[in-house]
Amino acid sequence: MEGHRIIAILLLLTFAGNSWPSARGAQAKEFRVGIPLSLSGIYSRDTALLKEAYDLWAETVNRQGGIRVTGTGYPVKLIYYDDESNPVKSAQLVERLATADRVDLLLGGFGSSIVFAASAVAEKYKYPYISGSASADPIFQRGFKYVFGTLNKTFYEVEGAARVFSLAQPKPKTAAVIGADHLFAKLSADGFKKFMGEMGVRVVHFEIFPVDLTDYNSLLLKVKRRNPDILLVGSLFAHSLRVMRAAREVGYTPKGIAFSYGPTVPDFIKELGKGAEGVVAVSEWLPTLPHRDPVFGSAREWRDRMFRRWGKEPDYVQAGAAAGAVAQQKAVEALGLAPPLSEKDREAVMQQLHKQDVETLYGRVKFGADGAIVLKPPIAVQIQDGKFVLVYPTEIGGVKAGKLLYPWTKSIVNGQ
Amino acid sequence: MRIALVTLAALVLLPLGAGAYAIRLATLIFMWAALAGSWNLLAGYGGAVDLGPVVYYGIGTFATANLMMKAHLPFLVSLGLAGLIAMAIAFLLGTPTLRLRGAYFAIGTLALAESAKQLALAWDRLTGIPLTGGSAGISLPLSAGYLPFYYVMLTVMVLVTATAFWLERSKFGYGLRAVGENDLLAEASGVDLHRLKRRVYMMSALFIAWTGGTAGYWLSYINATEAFGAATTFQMVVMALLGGLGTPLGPLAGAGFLCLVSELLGTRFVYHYLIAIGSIIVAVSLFMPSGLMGIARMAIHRGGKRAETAS
Repeated sequence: MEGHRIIAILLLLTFAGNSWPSARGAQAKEFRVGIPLSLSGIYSRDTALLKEAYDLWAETVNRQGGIRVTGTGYPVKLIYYDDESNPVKSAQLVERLATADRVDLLLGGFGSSIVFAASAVAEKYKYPYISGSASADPIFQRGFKYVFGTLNKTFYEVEGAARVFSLAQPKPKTAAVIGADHLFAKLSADGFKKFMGEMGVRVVHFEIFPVDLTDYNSLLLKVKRRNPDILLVGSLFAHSLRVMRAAREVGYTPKGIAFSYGPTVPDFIKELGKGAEGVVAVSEWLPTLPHRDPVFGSAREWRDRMFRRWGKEPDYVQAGAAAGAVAQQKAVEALGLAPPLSEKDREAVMQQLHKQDVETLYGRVKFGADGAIVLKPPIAVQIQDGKFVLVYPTEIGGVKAGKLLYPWTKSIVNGQ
Repeated sequence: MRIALVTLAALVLLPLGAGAYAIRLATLIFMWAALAGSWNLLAGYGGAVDLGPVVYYGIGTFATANLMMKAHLPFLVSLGLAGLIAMAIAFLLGTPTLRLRGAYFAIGTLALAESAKQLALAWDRLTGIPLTGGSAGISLPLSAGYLPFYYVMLTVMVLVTATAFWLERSKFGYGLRAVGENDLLAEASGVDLHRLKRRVYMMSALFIAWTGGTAGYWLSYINATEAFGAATTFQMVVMALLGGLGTPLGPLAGAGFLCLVSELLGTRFVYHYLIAIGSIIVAVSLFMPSGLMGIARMAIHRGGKRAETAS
């Protein structure tokens, strides 16, 4: 008797695969861009940032008459699905977008494990998968042809925030490096450690802590006991906040402090206020950089549009995501491909993405053979008077860096 | 029985007529049905609520991956061996933990799973033997096609379901259910409670490890945080309860129902579907404590005698 249920399920299932997804054909010609994102679950907060960047890109492109292909403009339609921060679901949704919805293009999601799973399916169906927020080196070591990233690879990404301390007067002699046990955060910590070694700064304490650690005070007490000149943290946003609070609670004020991610998220300054002064952060982008952009005009204009649309300062990860969308758009335009895109078309887009070198709001987007961005100098910023000031490298695209506030101790004491 | 065979034949032949996405969705349902079914073996029949089955999912995942990548064994051989490893570990872990009763067993296994996750995360760093890749995880080669995963998951699901049917009918199963209903009484009447439970625990570990190993290769990337994540456990539990605890087909119904509902609603109401799914789960557990199978049984009873005699 229970077999009936199974047959019903089976029928539903066959039905599911073949007839639910909208058949193409009858629709107006447009570029359908599939985006599996973690709209719920642990990555949802970070992913919301990506969605803002993608939404603004689509709105702007559509206001300009769509993606221009040999004189005709085709509007962009974004198709979002929620992967619940679950890689299994993410892979499933990419397969759905590729085989059932038959979208023309994809854009990537947040979180390394998500990107790992999703990009494997994208590779199988020959869809370029550009992530503006995955930078973990192993993603680019799989020999994939269709995976691209607009952030610098993690190891290299933290270089600026490490080397900036060689500009400090007096030069720091000792450092503590801590990092959350998370693919990106741990790689950042490894990177920090390596660059400290190269700079001749002695690492007196190195610790990888669990990603869901609750007691940050004892972690910071251990650091405090070693009393290093500077503290470098491999972190995600949540870790950066907790480390800052714990440092204040245990009364540890290093001369310099840097994070691999966190301080550039607008909530960081909002939550810490004056306590955020002097913090150094890895960045990849600033609105003041003189980048031109074919869709948004310039870095500054993009920042203004983002601010008007969402009411807050955009983060560099959002800039990276927008640049990925722009780069893919430019590849399609350069090839003169009108929708719907075939597998051969997408293969051409992939080759074009490997070949092209476009200037965007985010800087030059040129991908290396492994799909990771090249020619992008690692940037470090410091929070000074509640604003991000470029402190490394000393000059980039004609923009001069500000002076590194060091030691920051003075600023935090004055701030409190 | 005939219905079961026809259904099975249809599932074996399904890939001939279905698109790639339908196959993936079916594979996913088989995967969850196998997992929920494995959990049901111990919880539904033995009355022991295990909140750490994901330990064997993780072990299966990493054992399969390492055997494939390091020992260069074929996928199916690696998977088979991974199942044996999981059973051996289940024997070692089950011996002490299965002596705990009720809530203590649940909490103990939950803690076990969390410790296993932390151990897997720190393994490479602590031991110097690279097995889990720490927080970076392990990237596996892409498989040639997805069809093998469909058939492996289907096979595991069928084996799990067959085991549940066997538990319903065999002497072993009667003993186990006696333990589930009143363990003190069962023990007093001569049932070797601990050995019975341990056997089922090992069986379910085997199936869960096979599922995990297959899922890992299917995804081509594994890391300890996800492979040992409690979310997998909870989904297994929810699906088994939703379908009907202690019934052979309940977990299948629960897995199929949840996967399809999430598919149907999730693609239409991207921002609100989780609320709907949550409400469905709450409604089922409040108003239909015997799950979907309970509803099915009721419907069949009302439908008349014909169906009843067929069963």
